[in-house]
Amino acid sequence: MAVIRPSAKVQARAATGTLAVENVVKRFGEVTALGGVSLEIKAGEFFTLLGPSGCGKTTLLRIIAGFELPTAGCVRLGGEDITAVPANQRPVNTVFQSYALFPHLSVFENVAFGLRSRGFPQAEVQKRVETVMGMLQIERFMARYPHQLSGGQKQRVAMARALVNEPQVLLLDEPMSALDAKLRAEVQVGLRRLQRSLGTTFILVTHDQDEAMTVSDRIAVMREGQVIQVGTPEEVYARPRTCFVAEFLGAANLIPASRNGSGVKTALGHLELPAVPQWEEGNLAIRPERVEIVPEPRGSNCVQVQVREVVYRGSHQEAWLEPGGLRVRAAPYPPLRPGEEVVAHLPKDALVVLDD
Amino acid sequence: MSRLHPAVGVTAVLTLGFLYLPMLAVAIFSLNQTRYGMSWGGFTWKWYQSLFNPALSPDPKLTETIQAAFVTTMVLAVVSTVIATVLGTLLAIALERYPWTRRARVFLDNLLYLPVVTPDIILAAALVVAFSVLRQVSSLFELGLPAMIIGHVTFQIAFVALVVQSRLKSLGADLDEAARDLYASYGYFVRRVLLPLLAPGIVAGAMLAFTLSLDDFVISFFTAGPDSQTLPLIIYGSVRRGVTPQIHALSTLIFLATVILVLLSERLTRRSA
Repeated sequence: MAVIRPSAKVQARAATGTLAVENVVKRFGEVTALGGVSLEIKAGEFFTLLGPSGCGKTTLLRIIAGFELPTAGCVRLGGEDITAVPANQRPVNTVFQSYALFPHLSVFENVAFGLRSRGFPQAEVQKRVETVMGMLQIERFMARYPHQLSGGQKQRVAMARALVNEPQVLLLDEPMSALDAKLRAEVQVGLRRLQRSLGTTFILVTHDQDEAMTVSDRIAVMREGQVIQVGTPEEVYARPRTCFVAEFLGAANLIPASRNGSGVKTALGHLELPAVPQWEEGNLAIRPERVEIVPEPRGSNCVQVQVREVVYRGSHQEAWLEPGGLRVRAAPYPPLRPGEEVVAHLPKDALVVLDD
Repeated sequence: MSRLHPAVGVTAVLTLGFLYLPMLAVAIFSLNQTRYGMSWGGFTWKWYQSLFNPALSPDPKLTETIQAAFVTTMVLAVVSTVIATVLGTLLAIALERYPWTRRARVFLDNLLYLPVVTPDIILAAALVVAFSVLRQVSSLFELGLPAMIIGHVTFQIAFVALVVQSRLKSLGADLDEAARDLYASYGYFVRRVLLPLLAPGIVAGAMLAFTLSLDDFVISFFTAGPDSQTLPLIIYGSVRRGVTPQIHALSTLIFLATVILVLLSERLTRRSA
């Protein structure tokens, strides 16, 4: 879906309702998959559920789709409680991880399935299927069968099959996990553009933080059946609330610290902070690219360190500093040398005080 | 690739020969002019012709018995196959798609597999006992064609269910969910997705069941009445009276019909896999 050509008609039809998940609990026997999750997803938003496998993100998606009933809590769409509405009566469609295309039906009939099952007249089916196939550029494959398509083509057919129904909410269950890295990057940009032009609410499930950052308006980071943090990609990346969030989204230096006057005491010495921490002992985080190597100490938060190891990455160099095993991502020039004594500056506003 | 010792190849060929030699002998004697004894009296189709035309038969009464038995065999095979296919398919869908716990699933799978390995003679004897009890309730269980149909259905169901179940396993459950997600009612899903995709498995299972019914001797022997002789029962009876070339011709035809059915069923299962 490199280029997207949304039709005027589809474009005009934006999503209408907020999707609210309220205190949803799901237990499978003795296993608790979701331990009381609440989220509010605005109409037209690209929302991502991000987390490692087993965090409950797929279970939550299945509850929104109507494939699972929550043990407790409810799901509302546009204010209306849809918790007990069966999957085949929800204005919500899913792109499955396996795509789940019907192997005995042609691409056209796969896309038309959701219209035919509701008894749309042939002319309407023809028109809507053609529109959406044009939008996703799969008209050429119309007569083919799923086993004759590549992974990327199947993914587009799965998208078309869901979008032809003009759902209020489109659910995407790791739709890019079967694609190779290069294609995935392309598809992510296409997906983002498509969502923007349709104005439909998209909810994506993924364990890939790069993918989440690329496509999302907001991200909910999940762990062990709980939502840990919700925010824009910038917020969750730059202002993680816990060690888990800091480490799950990209590389982070976690610095154990204890309160010391207005700042904290750490293995690197005394550091000044933007805010006074709530705890006596806890952790700070700083992204490797925010650590600066400076010629000489000036002002606060400068520490004398030794370079332990350097990896040249082309566009940048990565170095590990002692004490503390501090990771730094710096411009490739001038090159750092192992054993070299340097001064590292940890800017006050780059230090994040974590809750734990 | 390791090289085979010549002795292994030779043994394999001899073993295959051993498997097919009896059938080959019957086929050859079905084309023999000589009515009695083992000497070759020249080639003829007359035993085959006499199966279809009592006037050409040296034993018109035998031909009529065979023709009546053919009708019984076909009615028995067709009716029992239809019933077993419907019930076996429903059973497979229930076993495979209902959210059983893991332990219940293993137990049910074994329960389904057990009839396949139960010796026919045990099942037949059990049927006789069961029918003699049920006869108190309904005349349906009197020895005869209806009882034979019930007997055949009993052992066919497991075979149909196993074939359909393996097909269901290969389809995966996410197509069910995709159809539900796309507004399909259960009926629409069954018509437009499940049955078309299961069809090769259902047909293969039905063919297998049909073949099993066609060839069955033991269950039929125990449940048949005086007016419900099947071809296998006739062949058994005539062996005791002395085999005629007509019986050889009949056996050869049944064998060929079985081979064709098995090959077709095999092809369907393989193509759909």
